[in-house]
Amino acid sequence: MTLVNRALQSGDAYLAAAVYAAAGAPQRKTLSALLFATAKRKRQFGAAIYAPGAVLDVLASDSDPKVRLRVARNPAAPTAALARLAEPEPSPEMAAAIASHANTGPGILERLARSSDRSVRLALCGNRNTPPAVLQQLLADGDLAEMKAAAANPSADADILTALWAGGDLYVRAEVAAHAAASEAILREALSSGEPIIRRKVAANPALDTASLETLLDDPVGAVRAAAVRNLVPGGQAADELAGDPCFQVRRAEARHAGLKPDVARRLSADRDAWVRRWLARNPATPGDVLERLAADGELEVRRGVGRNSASPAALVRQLAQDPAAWVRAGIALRDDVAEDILLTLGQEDDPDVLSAVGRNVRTPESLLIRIAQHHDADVRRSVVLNRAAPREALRLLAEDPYPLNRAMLARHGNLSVSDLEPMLGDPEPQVRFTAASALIKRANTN
Amino acid sequence: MKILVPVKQIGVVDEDFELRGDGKDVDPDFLNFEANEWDDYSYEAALQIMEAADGVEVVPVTVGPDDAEDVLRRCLAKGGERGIRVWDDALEDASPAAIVQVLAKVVEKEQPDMVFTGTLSSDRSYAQTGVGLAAALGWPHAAVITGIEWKPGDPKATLLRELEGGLVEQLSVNCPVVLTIQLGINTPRYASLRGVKQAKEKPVEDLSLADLGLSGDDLAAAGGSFRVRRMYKPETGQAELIEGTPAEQAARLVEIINELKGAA
Repeated sequence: MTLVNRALQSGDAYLAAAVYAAAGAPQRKTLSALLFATAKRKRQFGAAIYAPGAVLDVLASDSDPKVRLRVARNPAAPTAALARLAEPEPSPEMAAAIASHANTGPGILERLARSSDRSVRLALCGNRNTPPAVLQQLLADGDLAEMKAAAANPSADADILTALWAGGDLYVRAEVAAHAAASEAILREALSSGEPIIRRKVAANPALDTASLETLLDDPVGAVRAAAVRNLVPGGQAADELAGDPCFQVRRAEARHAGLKPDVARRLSADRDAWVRRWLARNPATPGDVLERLAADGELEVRRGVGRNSASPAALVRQLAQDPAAWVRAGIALRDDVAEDILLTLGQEDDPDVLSAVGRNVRTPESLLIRIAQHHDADVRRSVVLNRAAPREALRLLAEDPYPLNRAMLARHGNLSVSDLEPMLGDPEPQVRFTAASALIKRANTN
Repeated sequence: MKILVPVKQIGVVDEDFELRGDGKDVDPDFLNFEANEWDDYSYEAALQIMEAADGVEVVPVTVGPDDAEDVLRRCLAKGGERGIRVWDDALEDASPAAIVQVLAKVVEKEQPDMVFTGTLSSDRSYAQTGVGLAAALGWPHAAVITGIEWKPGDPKATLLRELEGGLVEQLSVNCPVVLTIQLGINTPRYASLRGVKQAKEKPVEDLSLADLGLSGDDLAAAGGSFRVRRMYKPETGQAELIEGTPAEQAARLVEIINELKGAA
């Protein structure tokens, strides 16, 4: 029996939703009767983020304004559906939803700009699809909130930003200072601003040159120095004295910087702030001797950081696999490069964090995955579902897992066969049936 | 030995809901129905006692229309062999006092040794069913229970309650007793697929008010200590996310206070 026929015969609206896009025109008509049988069901699918575009497309023409509004607010709504919802004259609520939607096309946004409704104008100012010319038109009489939204909009061009810099308040100017398209003149003015928020924002501007960032490293405000450190490109030479900066935000930013220098790392490794040491432990630029010191840190999150660091040497990984804290050993079990004997040892434990990590590791042998798939803890069992390399033999054990979320996630796994997926179409949980049907359709389309 | 567990199908309000024509409740078309979360815990507590001893029967009971049978099947999928559903059109919009009258009659009919209810239902939050039922039966009760030590046949149960400040209160109570169970007392199980299939075949006894020797007039007489006059959504203010460093946030807060004072 085809999936479409199965959906029709079972009367299952979730199956119908999953197969709708794949059905031919005559079948769609019958499926529609099932899918859109009640106003409540239409509202439900209209708001469902999982609803296929074809279903949302139909609902965009529904006579019930509540259904249409839900489609407009649904992040999955297709561009064509949004265009239809914008015709002929949408309510302010509907217009605001369309104006803020990431899938709305520039033409529709331009038309909505005629609205005088504040929420519509504000949404348009913040929508990255709004063309610069439309932004300019809106800002001709824009209020401060609209100006701030436009200043943070990636589609704002240099002219718009210059106007906002001249006419905005402190917070608008701060957004302009952080904008990658801000002019050189604005950046220069921001660098010497007396307002810390302006200097902090400009320090985070991706277009700011290294020399300017290095100037900001001497800023009297710690948050500004920290933003400058975060923005320094890898290889940028941050000053050694940053390791002794009185502001913890600066030291944390330095500890995670890709261009971290060995001497700075050594000084930071004794930092009293645990987050500094934690970032250092995770940084692949941290030298081996520092990692070794951090592997003996009293904070377990620091030791776990070393265990998760891709640059940690094998001997250190082996040492941390015997750490007294299960959370640290779990970090080791998540590594793609961990030795099989370590995985097998960790797989004998009963700690849920360790076992879940072993279950997710693509290198874990099938026999161990089969054991984990039968664990009493539903969260541990789910780790096998999350393992993209898990073999079918282990996955099949989860097909009747009592926890519905595990079954729903299982239905998405690429290593299940069609014969494993088919029984899931009769699962008591709608989410499982929908996911299984979607997976079967995807496979049919790729074969 | 029998434990009766009243369970409830609750209405969860949909987004953009509408109120009923009389303005006293949400239009049912904008409600999604599901099992009350507290009842998962009370049913699990009963199942754990059943599984730890021989000869214990756990019976879920609900007061609700046809589709409320789902919550009973959901319970039976986890354990228990039969359920009871009571319904009559006169029970539409019934007050907690009326529900208590119905459940008291079910207790009279079933003669359980214990009754476990959830502390409250998340749709109405009256938290009256268990306490009111104990009063109607003349049984002792204890509310918001987070631990039970009791074996079938014990004349007293030892109970735990969590109080403010991390304190735990231990108390003992004579049985039979009505307990209202708090979230977190246990970890409710999920029903196996086999359990879900088997539950479809388990008997659910449908009872009317007449079957219990009650009438709509009895319920009206039970009345209640309150009545709903209207339901509405209060107007809400506009929130602002204050950004920046602590110093910048403080500066903005001062601005807002000045604006509200009219000083800006």
